Amino acid sequence: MTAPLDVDTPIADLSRRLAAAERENDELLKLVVAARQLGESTTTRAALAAIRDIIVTVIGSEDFAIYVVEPDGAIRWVSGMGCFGAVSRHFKLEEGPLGKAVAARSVYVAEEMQAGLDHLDGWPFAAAVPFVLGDRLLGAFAIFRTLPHREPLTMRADGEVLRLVGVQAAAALAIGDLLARDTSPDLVTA
Amino acid sequence: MARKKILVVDDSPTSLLWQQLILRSEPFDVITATDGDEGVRVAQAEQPDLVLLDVVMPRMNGFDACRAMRSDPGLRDIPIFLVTTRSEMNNVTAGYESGCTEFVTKPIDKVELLAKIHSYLPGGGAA
Repeated sequence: MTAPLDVDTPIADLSRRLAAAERENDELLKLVVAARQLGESTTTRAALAAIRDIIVTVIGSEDFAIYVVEPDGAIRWVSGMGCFGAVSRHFKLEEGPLGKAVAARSVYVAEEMQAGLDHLDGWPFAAAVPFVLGDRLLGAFAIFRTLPHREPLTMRADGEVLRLVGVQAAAALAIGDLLARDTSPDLVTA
Repeated sequence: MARKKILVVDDSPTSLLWQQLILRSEPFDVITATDGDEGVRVAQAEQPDLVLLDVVMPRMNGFDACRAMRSDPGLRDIPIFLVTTRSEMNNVTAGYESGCTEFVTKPIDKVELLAKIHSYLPGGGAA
C-alpha cells in the first residue's frame, strides 16, 4: 500500500512564504520611500520637511519632535507636531531616556510603552532616533506617541526603517548645512 | 482591455511616492495631483476609474474635494477612497457624509490597499 500523498503541507508552506515575502516587500517599500525622499533634499528646510513627512506617512506618528545637538551638548528643539512634539523643550545629552539614547548614537524603542513603563519626565515616549553621520552627531527625533490605529513600535518590526531614517536624515542635514554655507557661484550654478 | 487609471491626490510628496510605487507594482496607470482643487480639475479632465484622496490638504481638503467630485455627473459613480491618518469615528462619519466609498488609514498597508482597489476594480488593469 502506497503512502498517502501530502498536498496540503506544500501549499501551506508556499502560502507562508508568500506572506513573508509580502511583509518584506512592504518593509523594503518603506526603506525605498524614506531613502529617496531624504536623498533628494538639498537644503536644511527640505530635509526637515522630508523628516516630518516620513515620520507621519511611513512610521506613523503625529506626535514627535526633531532636535539638533549643540556643541555644548544641549539637545535643542527645532520642529515638531502634536501635543507633546510641538512644545519647544530642550534636553541634555546623557540625561533621561532621550539624552541617553542620543548620546549612545543608537536607535531606542520603548517597547514597554504599552505597560506605561517608559516616559520622558512625565511625557509618553515611544522612540528616539539619533542623526549620526560618521563621527558627527547632528541631532535626533523623538516619537512621543504613534497613531492610535498602528501597532506599537518595536525594534524587530521598525528598527531598520528607524535606523535608515537616522542615517539618511543626518546626511541630508549635513548637505543642507554645507550648501547653505558655501555660496560660491560655481557650486550654486552646478 | 484598457488599463485602469487611478488618480492619487495628496500634498505629501512621501505619501504620493509611496502610493505610486504600490500602484505601479500592478498594471495601473497612475496620475497625481497635490491638492484638492487640482484633484477635482484633474479628475474632471482625466475621468479616472478610482480616486485615492488625502484628507488634510491645503486650498481644498479631501472632504470638500470628494463632495465636489460627487456633484459632477461624470464622477458621481467612481470609487473614491479617503486616505487619512485619523481613524476616529467622527472622521469616518464625515468622510462617508462627503460621499467617499472607502477609507484607508496611513501608514498605508500595501496588501490592504490593493485588496480594496481590486474589490472595486475587478480584473485590475491587466491588458
